[in-house]
Amino acid sequence: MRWPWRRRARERELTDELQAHLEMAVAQRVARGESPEMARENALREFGNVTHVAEVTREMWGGASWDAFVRDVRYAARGLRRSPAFTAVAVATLALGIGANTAMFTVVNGALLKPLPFAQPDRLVILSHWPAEIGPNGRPGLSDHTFAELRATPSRAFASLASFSGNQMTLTGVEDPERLRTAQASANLMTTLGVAAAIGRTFTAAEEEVGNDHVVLLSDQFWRERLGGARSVLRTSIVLDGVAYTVIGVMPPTFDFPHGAALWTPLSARPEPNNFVLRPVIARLSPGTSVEAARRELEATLARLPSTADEKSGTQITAVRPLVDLLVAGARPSLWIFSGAVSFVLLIACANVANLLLIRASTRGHEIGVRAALGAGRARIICHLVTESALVACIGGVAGLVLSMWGVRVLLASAPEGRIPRGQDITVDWRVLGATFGVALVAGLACGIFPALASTRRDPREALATSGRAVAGSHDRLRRVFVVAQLALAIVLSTGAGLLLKSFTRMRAVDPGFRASGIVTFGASLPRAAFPNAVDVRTFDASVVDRLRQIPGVESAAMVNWIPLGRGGLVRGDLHIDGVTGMPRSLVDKLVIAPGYFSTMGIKLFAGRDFDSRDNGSSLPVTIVTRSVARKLWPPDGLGAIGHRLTKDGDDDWNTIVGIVDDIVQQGVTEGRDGAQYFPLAQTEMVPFINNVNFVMRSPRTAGDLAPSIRAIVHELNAVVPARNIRSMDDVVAASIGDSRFETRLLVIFAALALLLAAVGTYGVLSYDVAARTHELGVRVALGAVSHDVVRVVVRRTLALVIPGLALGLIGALAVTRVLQKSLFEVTPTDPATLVAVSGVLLLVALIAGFAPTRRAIRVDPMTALRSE
Amino acid sequence: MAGGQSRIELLQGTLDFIILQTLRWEPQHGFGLAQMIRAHSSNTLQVDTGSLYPALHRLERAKLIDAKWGRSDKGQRVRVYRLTAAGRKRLVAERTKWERMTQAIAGILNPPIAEGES
Repeated sequence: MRWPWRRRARERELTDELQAHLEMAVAQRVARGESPEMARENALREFGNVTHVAEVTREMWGGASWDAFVRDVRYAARGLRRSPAFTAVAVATLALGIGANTAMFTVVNGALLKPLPFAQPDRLVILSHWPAEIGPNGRPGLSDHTFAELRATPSRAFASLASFSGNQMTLTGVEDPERLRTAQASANLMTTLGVAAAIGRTFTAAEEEVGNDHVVLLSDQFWRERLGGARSVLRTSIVLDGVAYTVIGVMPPTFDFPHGAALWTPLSARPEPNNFVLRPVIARLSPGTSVEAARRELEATLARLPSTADEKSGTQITAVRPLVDLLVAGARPSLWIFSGAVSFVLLIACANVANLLLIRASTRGHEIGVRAALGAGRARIICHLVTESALVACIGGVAGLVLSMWGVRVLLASAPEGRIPRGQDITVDWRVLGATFGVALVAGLACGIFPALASTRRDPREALATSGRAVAGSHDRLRRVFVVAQLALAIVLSTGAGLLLKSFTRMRAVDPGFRASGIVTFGASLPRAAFPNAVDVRTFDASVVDRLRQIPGVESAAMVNWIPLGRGGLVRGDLHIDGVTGMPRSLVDKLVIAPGYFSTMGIKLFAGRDFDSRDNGSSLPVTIVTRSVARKLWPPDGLGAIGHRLTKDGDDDWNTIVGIVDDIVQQGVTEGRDGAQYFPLAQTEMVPFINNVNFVMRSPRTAGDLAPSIRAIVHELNAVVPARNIRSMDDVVAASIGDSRFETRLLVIFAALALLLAAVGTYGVLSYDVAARTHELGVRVALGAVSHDVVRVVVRRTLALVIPGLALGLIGALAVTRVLQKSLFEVTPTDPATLVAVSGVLLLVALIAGFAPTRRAIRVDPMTALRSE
Repeated sequence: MAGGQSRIELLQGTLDFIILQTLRWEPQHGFGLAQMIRAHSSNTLQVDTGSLYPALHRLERAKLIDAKWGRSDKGQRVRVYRLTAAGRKRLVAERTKWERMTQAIAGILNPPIAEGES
């Protein structure tokens, strides 16, 4: 009945009904003997104004009718057009608030809320089983042994079990060889996830067997971008790590699991004795099985399996968690923190707009009074006023949505790799649109309702008596409350930003133990097929180092298998001293380097010597340990270490310590420096230790400058090995704290936005104050007040806003900043220095906001001020 | 037109009551209702179309009456209003109220009798 299309029919019926009435009146008069013309004329006169009758009747159709709504909106739009400055400020403020929230929600929605693009994703779980000391937040996984045994065990809870792991392979046989992110997948991974190939087929169980496993599934993107996207690609071959793989299928474009994989090869998880690989295991729950029931079954089964049965129960944690956790668990807390932060910005924006509306309402007291006097009910007037704020919010919402699309792009582009999961799912969908619209409406109502209630509370007679001028002090309290709330929220946000900023500064100030500036580094991975023997690998690594040293401008060069602060697998192991038994287990980093590594990196050598060309396969096996290791084993100064022999527990390969170097940070600046043991490349036999290496060189030249020479050298030595990640060590260090940089930057932006909006709010109230008190100030000046008395008045007003805001804000900050605990380094969430600094900043911002109103106050001319009354 | 000064403007509540009361006998269209009200009140109550139709539509919205398109005895296509069950119930309640009210007013007009309550 309220709908526009229903309404049109209704209009027609009403016209018909009134017309019928007229016809009958005419007919009656004619029957009484009047002439038809007279009859019509009289009937019409008696009836009255047909249009008016129709109109008053229509009004009975319901207050919330479409027409009334359109009328209200038109009225509101007219009102807004009349005051473009107010409209522009209000719309811009809300657009910022809503835009920031929509952007954040688009990310949260895509990363956390949308179901995974798999069949019945809520039935997919991830299994894990690990030593209790790792804690519940380790990367979930099962050993290949356990996986194989588990798959062979009949299960009621799990319909299927699949595994995968990320991998890298080098594509050759094309113009430029490329290191690709790939994945190994157990044959049933795709069927477990419930995703079919778009072209061709997925793996068969037989393709997990060695010998049958040279088949490959392509991602849609790789297929289109590298292979031209032709269907004829099926059954052709591509060369990966020097081996030909037959293409059996192409996955649909939506399939991106694990994220970024260009292609998938079968995972042959062979439970060999020395296989200690842990991989994530995905299971699809059988219909009707709960996660808890599945966990109990898994625990019971693991207690019986050969690979896990001998573990003491209680020292292992068995967990079954939703698959989505694997993808987003790391990002979830910070995304929620940012959502909270950004909602503060919106609250502040709303308070600002509410304040603007209050000021506007008080200058419109007269208009409102007239309407009330003309018989408009309070509900009606409130409805009009709220429609106005809702309209502002909707325009702000649309502008915010546009702003957010840009914001999301910037956000994703500036986020470090892997910080925000499920990038491909982060799009504007109906949920985002709905949320934006909802937020806009709620914001519109929230900012509109209090001003509307407050400004209609007055008696219309009083309102009329003020004849259209602003009333000093009207809604004063409410306006102050809004500003105090704004300042408090801004304090909370700024404290958070301040803490992160301080923590980030601390991270940057960490001395890593090496001199990062002036070092250029790059990686190379030697495929097993092309480099089967340790000799080949060593020759390649050493030749690269030799050739790098010859590049003009390169002062020194070396090789290391793990670049400090890099990503990937750092090998750690324990130590055993010759002649000492019952040593406590202590894990140290095990690194392989070429001679010159320490001098190139600027790592201090405390005693003994670096490796050199005399250390080779036929000479005495040597090793270098870091100072912390030496001190621990040969206290107090560790110098006694030199000449002693070390091995790993139960091994008989003894290495003599020839040097002691400084400890450096290996895994992250926040992790501290690690104890490490170094081995010379020339004496290393284990291929996996040295076929995935990094080269470092010290040079005044930049990475970009050196890149062509580096590529040429590597290509010349072996055409299938690309030089990857050519970058400065400074970049490596920066990337290692990229997450913190990103989080800090984001929160600082939000806090700056909050401060800006709060400053605008404070400015608004103070200006209004000064304007409303022109008379009072004029009297004071006339009575001999000098300008600093006037300043004191305004400053007192400012402080009356800032001090309660500050107090509330600090209480709020103390309560809330705890959520940042995990992101903070060397800073406590209640760091007093930060709280003081933030309070100072807020005070400064408030005083700046008060500057212009103060100046206006000083310039009050008593004559003008008094005359205006 | 007839009656001049003696016509009485109807209050909203009164008109609603009169409409319900008039529809009690048979369904009726707007013109018929106006005629009947005038006739039953001996031309005293004149119903203005600008009040009648809003009242009818208001009552319809309140589901006290409902409307259907039909034909008048002269073949004119008309919208006929009929009392609903809810309308009937309301009418009973209103009648009691009106009777007490008229008694009360009569009491005020003839003071010696007794005090009236409303």
